[in-house]
Amino acid sequence: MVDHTLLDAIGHNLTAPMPLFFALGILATLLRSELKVPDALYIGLTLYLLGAIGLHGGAEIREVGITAIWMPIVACFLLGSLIPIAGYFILRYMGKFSIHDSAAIAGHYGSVSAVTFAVATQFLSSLQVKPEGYLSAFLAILEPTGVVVGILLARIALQVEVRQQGELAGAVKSRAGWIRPVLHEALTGTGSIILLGALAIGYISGPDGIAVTKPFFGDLFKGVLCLFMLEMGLVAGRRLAEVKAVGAFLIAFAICMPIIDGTIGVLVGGFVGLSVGGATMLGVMAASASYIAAPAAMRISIPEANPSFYLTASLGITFPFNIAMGIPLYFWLAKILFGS
Amino acid sequence: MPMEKAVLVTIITERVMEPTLINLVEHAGAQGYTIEDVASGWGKHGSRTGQIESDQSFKMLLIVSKSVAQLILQEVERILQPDYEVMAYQHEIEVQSRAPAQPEA
Repeated sequence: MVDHTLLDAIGHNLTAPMPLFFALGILATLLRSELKVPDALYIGLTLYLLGAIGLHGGAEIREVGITAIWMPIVACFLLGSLIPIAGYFILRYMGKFSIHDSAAIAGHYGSVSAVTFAVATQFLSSLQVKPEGYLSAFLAILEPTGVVVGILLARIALQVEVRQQGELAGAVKSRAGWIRPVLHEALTGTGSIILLGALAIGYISGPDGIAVTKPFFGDLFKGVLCLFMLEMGLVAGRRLAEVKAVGAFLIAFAICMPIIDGTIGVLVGGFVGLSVGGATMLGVMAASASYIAAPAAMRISIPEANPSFYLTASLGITFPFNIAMGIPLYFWLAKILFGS
Repeated sequence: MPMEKAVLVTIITERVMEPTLINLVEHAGAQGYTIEDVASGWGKHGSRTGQIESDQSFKMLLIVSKSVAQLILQEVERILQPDYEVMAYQHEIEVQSRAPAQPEA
């Protein structure tokens, strides 16, 4: 492992191709370029990335055995539940956001971004740091957990308010009751099916399966991720215009929340016995906010929440922050805390 | 050529509401529908860039009787209008009648 200060790590990260392609996407939007990644290609890239991530994770779980990873799984589940609860109270009582907005935004932070995860694995591998490969299975746990906890928070808070203020139950009867379609969506949506499916396929086919698919799912991964980051830059770039409109509190939240969550994730990772790389990855997962599955689920379940708040926070601020600064920061923390 | 009177109902709404809307029109008695992707658009709720699922729209076309059209539009008003971006309208149209099935010899 190369010895790095925080600044070295950030510098090393910012000169890697993935963040640079992301920056190119943002730049293209700011220049009003006509650059566009076709929809069908975008879906194809998503399938590829999640398929590759899942295959590796599944094969690795088979290697170490499910019984060896139950502690990190429990820790991951707790993280996914506690992060949105903390986020909710910060937004509701410090930020004075409505119940709906607080719960919807908090749910995004409990959920996870697979792309941030993928970029972090490339960052670590460029430093010759190897995290536990089975961690990608945690994406499948964290993604729905955060969303469901966010929706439950909205539901409970609304019931408490009705009881306290004696409002007509009908007046606040929100779609927050719509948890079944959300669970269905969370487990059968494009992303979940391909990730869960690839995990299972990786588990069943094992290292041999990885070997035969390596030319496609292994060697091309970095290049595909670059193209995907370009598209993410285009999407995030459009959100930047709305950043000013969401207010100073949410901007601060979208930067501080990942730092706090990431630090907790690194600490928890270290305590359950993950390596420096593994603790970094758990930090990255805790810090990242969903911007694909969660917005769709929240739109269905908490339509009263303003999408421009949660999309701008997670996609316009937290995602770029994590890509540029967050990933090297969590690595640096893991290294000074748990590196020998 | 024999023509029948019917109503063409068009509903444009958010992509995430697709399963809900399908359920709604089936319960209202629609015999079929066509769904088209809407690339992007702009309205009083702001632009819909169509880049991620929560930001996409779609258009549903249905050819139904007058009474079914009315029921569908009422249900759209009740279930979708309060919380979602939705645009619904109808045209009175004439549809080519289907030739009656020939009894098998």
